[in-house]
Amino acid sequence: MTLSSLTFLFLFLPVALLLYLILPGRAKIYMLGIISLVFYAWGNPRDIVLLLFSVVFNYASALEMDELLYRRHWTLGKLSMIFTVIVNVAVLCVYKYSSAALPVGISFYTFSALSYIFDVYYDKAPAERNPVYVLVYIGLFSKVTSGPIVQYKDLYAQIRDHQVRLREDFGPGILLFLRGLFKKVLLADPLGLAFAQVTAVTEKTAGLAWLGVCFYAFQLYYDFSGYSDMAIGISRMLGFRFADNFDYPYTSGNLAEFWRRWHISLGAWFREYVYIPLGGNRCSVPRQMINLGAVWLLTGIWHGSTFNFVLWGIYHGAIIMFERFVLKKRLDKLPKVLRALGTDIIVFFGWVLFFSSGLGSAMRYYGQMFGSAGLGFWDAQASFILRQYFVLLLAGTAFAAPFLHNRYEEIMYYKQKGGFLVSAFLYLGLFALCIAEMVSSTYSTFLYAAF
Amino acid sequence: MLGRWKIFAADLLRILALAAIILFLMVQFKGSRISTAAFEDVSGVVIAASGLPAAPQQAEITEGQEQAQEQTEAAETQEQTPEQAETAEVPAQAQEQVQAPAQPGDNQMFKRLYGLDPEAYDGVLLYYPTTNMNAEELLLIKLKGSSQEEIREQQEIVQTAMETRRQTQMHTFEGYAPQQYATLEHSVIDVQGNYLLFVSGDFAQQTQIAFEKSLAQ
Repeated sequence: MTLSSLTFLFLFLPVALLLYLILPGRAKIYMLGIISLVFYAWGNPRDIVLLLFSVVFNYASALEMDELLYRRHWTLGKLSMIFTVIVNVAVLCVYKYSSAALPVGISFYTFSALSYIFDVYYDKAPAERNPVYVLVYIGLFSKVTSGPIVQYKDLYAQIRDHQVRLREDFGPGILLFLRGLFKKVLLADPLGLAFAQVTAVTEKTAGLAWLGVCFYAFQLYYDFSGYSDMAIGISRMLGFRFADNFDYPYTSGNLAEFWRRWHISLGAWFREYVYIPLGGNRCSVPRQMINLGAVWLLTGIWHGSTFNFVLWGIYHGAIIMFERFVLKKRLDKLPKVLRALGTDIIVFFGWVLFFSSGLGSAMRYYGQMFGSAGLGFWDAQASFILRQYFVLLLAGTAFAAPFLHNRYEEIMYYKQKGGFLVSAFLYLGLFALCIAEMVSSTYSTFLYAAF
Repeated sequence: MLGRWKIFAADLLRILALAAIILFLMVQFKGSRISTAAFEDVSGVVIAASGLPAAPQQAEITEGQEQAQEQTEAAETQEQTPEQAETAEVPAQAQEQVQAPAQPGDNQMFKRLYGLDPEAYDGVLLYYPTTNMNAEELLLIKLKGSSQEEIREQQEIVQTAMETRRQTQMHTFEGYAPQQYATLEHSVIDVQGNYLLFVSGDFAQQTQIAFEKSLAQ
């Protein structure tokens, strides 16, 4: 079940919220555990075995490791940690590299589970004695399918000492959820149609190929950031506060900054559990390069088992190294707009590897971006597609920067008397539009659910 | 002392969880191995196990068109001399064919019943019900493609088509032909890597066993 399906919106979510809200105190957390299991089992009941395994195995492992470390058996503790990590990664790899369909969310909840193990091992958080709490941490229904990969040390207190602040959390949670829904239904899905129309053209002019990349780049952004907003919004309604997963990444001044603003939780995970333990940037330059290389190779592999993704990871890693060790701060004096444009071109260029099914088709697409089709830069077909989706592209570009949202909040909530009423009607109107769109359009899943 | 028990209990839980997941993975991945067995060998075993008449036409789908043409020509010449056929001893095979609940189908029948393109597969063997009141059916498919991902994608498409076909048939018989309905209920859809089998009829189980054996060799 995806968060943007009608079943979820009108059946599952209301029932889940109702059950959660009417139960008293600690019972809420237990109910969340049950709801999460039902949510996960909804689409593919067989895969629940894997989620339950992850919960039980990591629950027991953390307890054992904690006890060993408490008794100062350092080597045994370390061995226990390594064994647990190997088992987790092995199960993930079995699915990533085999012909079986990837169980929903396995990349995301395995990383959550690993965060739990690492945080207990490095003594950043205590081992949990209540298995239901571990279940809620690893499998909370709002985040189990595609993150955000919240780190255990940031969440355990919110689970153990669960606070329900309806007044502070419920309203903002709903608004965030709705914004996510708009992004997904009104921007990402139509952009997906636009992109499909471009890829359907076998012989593309260079301009059309670039236009296609732009469509995909915006689709991916609104799809995943929309999903993240929905997940974070629901979590907030349930009393959990997660950090943002996206922060207007396409306005970044360089690639390193882009990665601090795109899929923030994944970047933070790699920084916390791979980059820093390897020595981070407090070591010699060659060593730093090795560390960065490892992180980017793993980031690529995490996204997919094909060589495309490995290459995509290396591409980003190489440019980040170039920025850090060669360019340094030389470009900082350039206007921000120019730097953001440069960063976007680099990122958009990389997405070709991301959306192509194989290296061959990626190379063909790259060729077309530089006119290999021999049709020149622009033709009538490109004009036709651009005209058809011009407004959508414009909206996609406009909402990718914080300006509109900030101005909106400023006017509605500070300058305009009664602005919040107007705002409420606006949200309701957009919500109705979303529903109309969802009912009429064919079912579409989230792109990131494939990772 | 208590701590040691804790470690022991946690270890026990881990071992149990590991055993469970290994078992689960073994069951799940039993059917994902890509077999190099030739389609002709597997189809031969499957036909023999099902007891359906060996069909010369089956080759039409898998082999080149020449052979198929030869066969249709042969069939035509047979048709041209009906008296001959009547007077001659009816071969055992043909007799079987008359009684058989399912008959071999060609590319077009495959397209019609399953909505799939036969060209997209390395091999297709189809037997479809002889009459509207039969629920016996057999479909064996060998997928094309070498990468795991391609196979995974195709597996899903073919499996869905097989399930849809089964549902359609069940829907047809529901309520008025309980025996046929039961036959379909006990039908088998078996996915083994690049081979998929759908078989409905009394012979379903024995066919499935033979099918899996032929791939294991």
